[in-house]
Amino acid sequence: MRTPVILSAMLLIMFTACELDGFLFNEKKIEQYELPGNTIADSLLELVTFNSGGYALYGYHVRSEHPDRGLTILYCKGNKHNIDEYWDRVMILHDLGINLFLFDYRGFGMSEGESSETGMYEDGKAAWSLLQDRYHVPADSLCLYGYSLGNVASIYLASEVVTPACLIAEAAFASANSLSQSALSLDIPARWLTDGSFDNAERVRTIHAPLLVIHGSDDDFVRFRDNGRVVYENAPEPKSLLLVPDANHTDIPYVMGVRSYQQTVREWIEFGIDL
Amino acid sequence: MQYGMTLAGSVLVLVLFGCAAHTNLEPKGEGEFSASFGIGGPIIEAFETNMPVPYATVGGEYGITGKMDANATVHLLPFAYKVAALDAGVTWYPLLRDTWQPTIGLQPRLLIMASLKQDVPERVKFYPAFSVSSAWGVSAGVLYIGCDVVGTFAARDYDDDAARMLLSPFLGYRWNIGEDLYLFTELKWQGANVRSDQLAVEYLAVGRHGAVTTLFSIQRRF
Repeated sequence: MRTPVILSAMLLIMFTACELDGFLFNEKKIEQYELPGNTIADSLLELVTFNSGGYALYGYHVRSEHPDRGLTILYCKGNKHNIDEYWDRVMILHDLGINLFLFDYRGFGMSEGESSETGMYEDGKAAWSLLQDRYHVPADSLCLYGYSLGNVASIYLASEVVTPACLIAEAAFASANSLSQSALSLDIPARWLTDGSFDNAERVRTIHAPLLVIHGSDDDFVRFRDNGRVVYENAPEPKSLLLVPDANHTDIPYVMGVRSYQQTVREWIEFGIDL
Repeated sequence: MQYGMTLAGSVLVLVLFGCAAHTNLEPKGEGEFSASFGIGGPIIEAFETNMPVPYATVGGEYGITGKMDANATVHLLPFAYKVAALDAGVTWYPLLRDTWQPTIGLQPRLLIMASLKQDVPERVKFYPAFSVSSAWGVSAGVLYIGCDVVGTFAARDYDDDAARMLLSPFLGYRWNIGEDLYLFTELKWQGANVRSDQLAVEYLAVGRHGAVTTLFSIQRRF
């Protein structure tokens, strides 16, 4: 059973001239979201479609029953499949009593189009426009939350589009170059293997929001030393770093304990609001 | 995200440490020539299994003197990713095989990589490399051990503390499979001095270091 898979993979690698960029996006198209394990009342959920660069994107606006000061988290998800993969995170953050919006970038889930670095920037801007226009979210009530690949969108927004109350960067990589250099153990120049730069490390220098970096000490995919640390060190004040012992790339809330994780997020949002 | 990056990892390792060719073991003889084709690379976790990266090379060796060969290897697979890679150098054999005495090969060379893409900030990179090998005649073939060392001139952009030298010990056996035709089977521990447990690529590692690599190479003497 494994032999055909291995041979196919080897042939794919041998004969497919490509860029790394395409592999950063791990899309999975679906006809309908399943929201696995959902415990949020249907009355609080709204499946939203909006336009970005001519493509119809899909997302969920998750309303809090008693929204705290109209606070809204714009959650920029990682690269895995679609919204369904992040629904556990949605439920954890929804418990904070804060509105939340997450969406699929173009090419992911029900969203049309093909994913790309520039597409992520456009999609992030379109999501923020939607929050402003339809839900009347002011910038000072907005918290941008990026997870893994999603930091490309959230850090871009905080750098060039909006000054939110706060920015949270979980498991952020420094750039596509940081990933390739560490994997190769050679100082391969930027853009040899990628067209896009995905350069969070540079872009974070110009954000205008308090930044909380959360990273797992045992992240075996986006190593803290040459990723989360770099993002943190390059960011202007005010900023804070939470290096979670024993946590890997995908399990930070669970290793911390959900309550502790929620408290950390809550405190950072409060800190940002009070500035 | 990690799961989705396994194939990305397999792309990245195409130029891992820049070496997949076998080491020269014995002098060709003055004026003699041989050509080789090799395939093999680090074993990575992808598609929920372990698979070797199909890193292919073609090379040639020419006997300059009775104790020194010139050699060059073109790395084929990186071309698919718009990276040209070539290593070239010489092998000097200060000690030749005699009963239990091994043939010692010292092989300095230069690994040259060039991007074939437009608008890259730096087009060519050079990495010095050095290999040492000991080869004994065992049965009808040759048993050999050795180590590759690849150096980098510059620190990586995001990690000032990254290793500047990559050590890769290897063990192999050269089979005589026909007249002037040899098969090399080699196991290499690439980057044995480098932590490899927190990278985008999931290598088959030893003690969280380096990547286990398999190599199969055919050599024909002319």
